[in-house]
This record gives sequence, structure tokens and C-alpha cells, in this order.
Amino acid sequence: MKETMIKMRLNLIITVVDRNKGCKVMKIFKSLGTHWHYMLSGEGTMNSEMMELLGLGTSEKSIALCIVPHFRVSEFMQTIRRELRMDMKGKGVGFTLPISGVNHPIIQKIKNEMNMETMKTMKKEMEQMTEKITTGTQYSVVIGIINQGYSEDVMSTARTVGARGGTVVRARRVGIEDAVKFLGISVQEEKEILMILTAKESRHDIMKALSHEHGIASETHGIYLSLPVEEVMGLDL
Amino acid sequence: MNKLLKEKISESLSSVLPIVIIVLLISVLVVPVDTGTMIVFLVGAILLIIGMGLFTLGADISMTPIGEGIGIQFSKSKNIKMIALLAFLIGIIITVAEPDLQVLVKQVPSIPDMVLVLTVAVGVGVFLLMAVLRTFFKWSLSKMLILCYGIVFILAFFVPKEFLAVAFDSGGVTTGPITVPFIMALGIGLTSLRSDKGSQDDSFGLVALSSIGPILAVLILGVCYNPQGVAYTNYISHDVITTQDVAKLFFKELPTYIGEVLIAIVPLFLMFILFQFIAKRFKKGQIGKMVIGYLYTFLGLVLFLVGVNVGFIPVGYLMGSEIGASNIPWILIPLGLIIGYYVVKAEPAVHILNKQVEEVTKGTIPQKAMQLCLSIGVAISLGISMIRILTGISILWFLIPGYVIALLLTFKVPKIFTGIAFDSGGVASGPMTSTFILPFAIGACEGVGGNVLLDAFGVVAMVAMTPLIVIQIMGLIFQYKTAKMEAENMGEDTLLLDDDIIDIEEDLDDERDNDQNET
Repeated sequence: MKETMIKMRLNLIITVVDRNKGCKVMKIFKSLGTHWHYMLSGEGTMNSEMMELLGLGTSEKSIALCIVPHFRVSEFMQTIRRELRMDMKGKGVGFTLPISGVNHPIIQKIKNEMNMETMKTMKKEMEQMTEKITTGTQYSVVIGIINQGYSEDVMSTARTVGARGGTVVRARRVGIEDAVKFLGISVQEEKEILMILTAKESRHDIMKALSHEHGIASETHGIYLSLPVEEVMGLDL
Repeated sequence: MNKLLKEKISESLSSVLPIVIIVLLISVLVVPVDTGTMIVFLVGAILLIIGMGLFTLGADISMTPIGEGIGIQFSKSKNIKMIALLAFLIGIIITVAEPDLQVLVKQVPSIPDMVLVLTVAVGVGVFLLMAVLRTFFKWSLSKMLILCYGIVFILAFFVPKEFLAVAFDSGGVTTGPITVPFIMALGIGLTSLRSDKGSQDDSFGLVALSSIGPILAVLILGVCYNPQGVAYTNYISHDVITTQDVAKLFFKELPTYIGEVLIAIVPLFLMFILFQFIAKRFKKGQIGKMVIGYLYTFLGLVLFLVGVNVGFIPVGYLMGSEIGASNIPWILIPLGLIIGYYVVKAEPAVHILNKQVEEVTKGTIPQKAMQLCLSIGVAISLGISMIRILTGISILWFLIPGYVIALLLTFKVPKIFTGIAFDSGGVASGPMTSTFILPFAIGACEGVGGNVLLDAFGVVAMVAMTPLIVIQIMGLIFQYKTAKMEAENMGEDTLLLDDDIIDIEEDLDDERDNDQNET
């Protein structure tokens, strides 16, 4: 039993909802019994440029993160989807990322909180694991790290190649001095991180378009990467 | 309908509705109000709701980004002298533009207008300069506040008693609904690029320091000029008979407020253009949006001020004076508590403060907690003011102990709460206070037969003082709760000292390899 216990798959659940629903998601996390959950604040982008201009375009979002053992992911996702009515359009999205490494106390804590029931479920889950791995991912999340102020431009370009919407988080570049030496250009400290959830087929086009229009050499100074997403909810792709 | 618009309207509806219902209840149960005045009040309330929604939307889009942008540019610059000079100029410009300053000027006829305006403006300029420098040199807010308020109270003994109330009122009055979002955003921008521990704490405290400037300025002038009297304008009630009269009343006042708000917004708009020209921070799309934001702020504030000045002042005054003159004047105290609790919800700058506190602390101090504290604080201040009106106790009996408690608390409370608490004092005393609470107090005082200048005018000073104490108490509770939670978690510490890293992918690969080897 001890060996199987240590090899437990973990996922990071990321939920993007309206700012005032953030607390609700956190409460759900707590009630389902996780110990490691965090919240970020960000903004969502909207489809209409006119709305954007009128100031009614962006809306404030809360981004909730949570570390969950793999066998509990569907339980979590379904509860959140039900409580926040994500089957309806515009209520928010959620997705899960695989975790490849973690420091020991995290797993210890999760294990300590499990009881006999969940251990049995987990053993069954372990047996089904090889199947799950081969199904592969259908979605990706494209992450663009760009200079502050350019998120709207980048988002418009992304829309022309099929992106539906994105979430923007403010960030700060640390360790600038090295970057300046290496790249030889002045580096702006204030950044924005734009996350676009998309079907796996489209991500290549999106990243190519963004890199072409708003790449490192441009004013936007954009760096783009994509992460594999395991499960998704709230999207009507 | 658009989600954001719906949000804003429901927010302002839920802020203004309580006070409207209370006024209606009072008018039915305690003080009959003639229908004309009541209709004017209700129309005023509608204007308030629309105005507040537009204003908060506009401030979010225009004021906050500009203030933050200027703050960030300041923090990036190495030229301290330039920053100090700019902060000083900004302080003067936004104060001179503040319409409430004109009201203050009228209250003190014995001091020449220009002298008063310039001195107050310079006062705010000097203190804004010090507040900005504080974020650079990381001076302790607590010590600065103790020093400044110490000077204030020493000077207070040298001015005539009637003057004292006006002096304290001026602090709350000059940090108005336009300057507050801007100064707060400035503070947030100044510290947003810092990653040290104190950065969150230091983003607050600018409004607090800027509010002391006018108080000191007015007191110093009071000592120099030794004014003979303080004047206040009596409230004239208008006869409203037909619906046309109602419309005419509002339209008559519209130009005045359009003018006032223009004077307040244009300098900020020019500052935006100048800043954009120099720093080129915002992109084309953003600029268009921000210009529209300024428009919303302008429209919203005009509607709000017209609604509140035309609709609320008469009702406030009428209720205060009727109850004061009645045979159950003691009812003013519980009424004061209730009115104070709900009126602060309708202050536009309070919404912006609560929102920014929630943002900066990443949700640790939620808007609801801030609103509750402010409501309790203003409720208590109004209750105490009513007691003062009924008994004639001097304001110093409340102000001095109040500020002493507030300043002593700064030693025990987490620094961020000190900044937020002293900021909220300047924020809570806004247009609602001067157009509803103050007339109510003046009316009550006249009804009771007391000295208006001594007893009624201090109400703004009280409203500016109680949040300082209540929010710091919230800080104490917060500190206690966090300590308790940490103590509870201590027991599980032994296993958390483990430094091992588990690589899940490798484990899975190993397992798969093992499975394949076995089959």
C-alpha cells in the first residue's frame, strides 16, 4: 500500500469566474476539503470593440487555483459547474493542468486527509490510470506574457484566428538587469499575462499569429507558450 | 443587458435605497413632510442612483488608471526633487478645483477668500508632497500622523471655539469625490512596483495626510486673523406645487453644478493629457476609453450633486428641525444612529475606497467588511453629534479623546489598517455628509434652540473621526483571528518540515515501465 500511496497524480484546477463569484468558488473548495487553494484577480476580455470603448467591455474576474488529487478532479469540477451554473453561457470557465512535481508536505497533507473510502477509490483510479494517459488532451491554454497595456491589441489579433476570449492578469518582470544584458533591449517592468483557452487544433495558429504581430521584437515584447489542459468546463467550443 | 452596467446600477441602487426608505418611514411615522418636498426628494434619489452608477464606472475607467499611472511613473523616476515638486503642484491643482472649497470659503467671511483658498491649497500640496515622499523613504505613517495631529491640537487652543468646528470640517470637505479616487490610485501606483513587505501598507495613507493639510492651514489662518465670526447660509425652502415646479427646480440648479464639476474635472483631464504626452503610457484604444470615462465621471457627478443638493438638503433640514422642536427630541439620537449607518453607503467615494482596499489586499479585507465598519463608525458619530446638540457638550470632549484613541491604536494595529483607517476618515465625509447629515444637524440644532456654530458644525469632524477608530478595531480583530488560526495550525507543523520533492511524472513513467516489463 505504501508504494502506491506515494505515486498519486495531482492536478491544478483553475477556475475563472466573475469577481463577485470568487468567494463562492473558494467556499466550494473548502467544503470539498482541499488545503491548497489560492485566488488571483484579473480581467476578462469581451467580444465587442464598441463595448470595450464605452468602458463596458472588460469585466473583473476572480481566478481560483486549487491543487487536487486526480481522482477527485471530476468531483470538484462537477460541483463547481453545478453551483455556478457553468452549463449556461458566460458563467465562467474551468480547466485542469497536470502537475509534474510537488514538494512532499503537499502530498503528505492530502494523504493525511484521506480516509478508507477515498483510498479504495484511489486504488481503482490507479488501475485505470494507464488508459487515461493515452487519451491525450483536447484543449490547450495559450499564455502570452506581454507588456502592460497591450492585452487588448493582442486579444484582437487572437480573435482574428479564432480565439473566443481571454483573461488578463497583471504581473511584474523581476530580474530585469540580466534580461537587458542578454537581449540588448530595454525591458519594461510592468507586464500582463493573457490566458486564452482554446481547442488544441487552433493553438498553433493563434500562437503563430500572436508571435508574428506581437512578438519579442515588437513593442508588445510578447512571449507565448502553451500548456496542455486535461479537463475543461464552461466552454462551448 | 450589459453585465457591467447591470452590476453598477444594482450596486448604486442597493446603496441609495436604504436611506430613501428610512426617510420615507420617518416622514410617515414621525415628521410629516409636504408632498412637494417629498417628490423633490424622490427625484433627487433617482438622480443619485443614476449619478452614482455613472460616476463609479467613470472613475474606474479614468481616474484610477491615471492616478496609478502617475504613481508608477513617479516610482520609476530617480529624480526626487522633480517628484516632490510635481506632487506639490498636483495637490494645489486638485484642491483649488474642489467645489466644496468654495462652500468652506463662504463659511468664513472674516478671512479674505483668496487667502483662504490659496492657504488650503498649499496645505494640501505640502502634505501630498510629504505623503509621496513617505512612500519613497518608508517613513512611519503612525509617527507622521501623531506629529501632525499633535500640532493641530496645540493650535486648536488658540482659536475661537466657533472656528474649531469649521477648521476640522475643512479636512473632510476638501478631500472630495473626485480627488479621493485620484489620490488613492496615486498611492497604489507608487507602491505597485515594489516587492517588499511594506508595499501594501504604504499604498494607503495619502488621503489621510492630505486631509490634515487643510485643517492645519485653516487653524493657522485662524490664529493669524483672529476671525470674529463664522457665517452659514440659511436653508431656503422652495414652494413646489406642480410637477413643472419640480422640473424647474432641478433645472435651475443644473448649470451651477455643471460649472462646479467642470472646474473640478478639467484640471484632472488636462493633467491626463499632459501626462500622456510626457510619459506615453496609454495606447490609442485605452485613451479613447479613458476620455469616455471622464465623460461618465462628469455626468455622474453632476447628476449626483444636483440630486443631492436639491433633493436632500431640504428634507434633511426639515426633519432635523421638526424633530428638534418637537416634544420628543431625544429621538434624534436613535434616528441619528440609523441615518448615519445607511447614509455612508451612498457616499460615492466610499465605494471606490472599499474596492481599492479589496484589490490591494487581494481580498483579505473584503468590501463588505469595510462597509460594515464605516457604517458603524458614521452611525456612532451621528449619534454622538445628536447628543452634543441636545446637551451642548463641547466638541473637544469628543475630538481629543477620539483622536488620542485613534493615534494610540496605530501602535498596536497592523500598519495597513492604520493607513486605510485614516484614509477612510477623509473619504466618509463627502457630499452626502454635507448635503444630508449637516442640514439635519443644523435643523436639529435650530429646533432644539442651541448654538448652530458650536454644536452642529462639528458633525463633519465627527464623521471624519469615528472610522479611524472602528477600522483600526477591525484591524485588531483581524490580527487576533490570524494569530488564533496560526496557533491552531501549529500542531501539524512536524510533517511540514520535510524538504523532499516528489516528481510525479517520473513516478508514472517508472510505473508504466514496470507494468510493461511485467507483461
